[in-house]
Amino acid sequence: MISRYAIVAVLAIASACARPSPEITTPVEAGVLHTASPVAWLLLARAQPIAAAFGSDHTIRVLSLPDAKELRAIDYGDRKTVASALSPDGALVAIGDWTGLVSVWSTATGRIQFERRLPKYPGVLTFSPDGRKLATAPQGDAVQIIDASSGAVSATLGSPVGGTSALAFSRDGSRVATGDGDTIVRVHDAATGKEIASNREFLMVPLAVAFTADGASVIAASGDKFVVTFDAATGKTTRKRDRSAQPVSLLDVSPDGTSLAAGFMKSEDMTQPDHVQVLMLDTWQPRLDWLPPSMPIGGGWVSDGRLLLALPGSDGVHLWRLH
Amino acid sequence: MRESLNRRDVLWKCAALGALTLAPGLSMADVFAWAEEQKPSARTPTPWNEIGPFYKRQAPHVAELRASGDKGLPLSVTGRVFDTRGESVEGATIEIWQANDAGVYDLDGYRYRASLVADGKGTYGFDSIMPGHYPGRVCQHIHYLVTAPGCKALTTQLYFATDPVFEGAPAKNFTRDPLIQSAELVRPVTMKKSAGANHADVTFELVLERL
Repeated sequence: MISRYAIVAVLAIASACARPSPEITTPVEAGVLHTASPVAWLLLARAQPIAAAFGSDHTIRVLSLPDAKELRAIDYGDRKTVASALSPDGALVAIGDWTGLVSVWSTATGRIQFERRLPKYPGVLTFSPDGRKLATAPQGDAVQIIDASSGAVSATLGSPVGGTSALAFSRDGSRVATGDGDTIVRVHDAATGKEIASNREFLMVPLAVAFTADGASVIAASGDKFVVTFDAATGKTTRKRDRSAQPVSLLDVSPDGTSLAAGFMKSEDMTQPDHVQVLMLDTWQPRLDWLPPSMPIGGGWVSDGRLLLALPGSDGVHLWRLH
Repeated sequence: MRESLNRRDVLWKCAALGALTLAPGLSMADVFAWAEEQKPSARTPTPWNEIGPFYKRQAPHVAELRASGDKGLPLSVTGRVFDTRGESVEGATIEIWQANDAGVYDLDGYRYRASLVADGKGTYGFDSIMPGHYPGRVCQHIHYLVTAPGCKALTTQLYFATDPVFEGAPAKNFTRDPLIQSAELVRPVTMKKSAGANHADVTFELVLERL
């Protein structure tokens, strides 16, 4: 489910509301989602109170939040998924499988919106903030940006050695940042695929990329165990955080643009949880540092401004509010 | 007009002119058979495998990855790099990286990481240890990134027929690791005794596509 690198990461988020105070916050258990079958992975829509729960019965259950009312059940058969995505408005859900087949469903009707065969299985699927584009990163191959209504390829990025392991759109959807197997982070024009800038700060494969809220900078992390910020127009490094104990494999900037969330990866055993941090973006001072008790199965911002992390439980999915 | 000679004609002429002398017991048929073996023949490209999250550039140019006292079964890997026409690729760069005996990758330094260069016959080799099982991955493996001018870069992984996951039947059970999409990447392992200790030898040929 979802990217295999993201699966091992802890999804972390940051403040969307008022500017956070400098005190370290503590996560609070916010509720339990009771579902018809055990949930292997949970996707949260960023702009609507909707979640997509991937059940062990090979069914995607589209749920309203916070009541976990089942809005739609989509059976995806015996396909073995390697990547998944939910559009920010919750209208589309996508999966990619080991054969390279990407399927996108309308969550309103449960019908297939389109299917597309990639040259290889996808490592990452990501919707643009307006939900109109789906970026797909076939392993070892060029990223394809697909029109989410028709399924047509609207742009193809360059094909770096080793393919692309991390992807992010800018908030206006005009730019795509890629963390590539050749260890370079690149910024592309999302409409044409043309490369605009690149950053070669890393020796190792980038694992996470994110744009700042204004799209002017890209934040990236890799197995080098540090986070770098660079100018999205020139590629020039503007900031480099000190090395951490473990690599960051997931980055997200808060909707108000003031905070940076970082999910760490236990590099010696990616099946085990590692720390979540929320940092002030201007000072990189931590606002939260938490080691979840079990491996998260999803999380993210929800429409009411809460930051949620999903942990598995015998009675359902336990949602923790991180902020 | 200049006559075009095939390999057989050249050998006959060499023999006739005395440039080729056969050792006792050898016939011209043997020589032709040997010559046939030397002819480049078309090869299929080595199957692709994903690069994974732990590739690190600027690895040292060392062929001895195993240090004294390292835990794990000593392992020697040798092979040649060809193109799909069957010609050896001199100067190909072979970058390899693997986990240690405990299944842990070195992210801070370059343990069990190397950048090798194929010699004039396309030959490469390195000494290491059998990698451990990395948690979350099914099989023991060594990562490869192979690059050469005029050839398409190759990322792939080497697997071992002796991996307990295969239960002695790698051709049948290789799909237990979903990342292994071709049994060709699972190589036989030759065990031998070296200085009283077990040692594993593996051959892994690499075939690159021409651009």
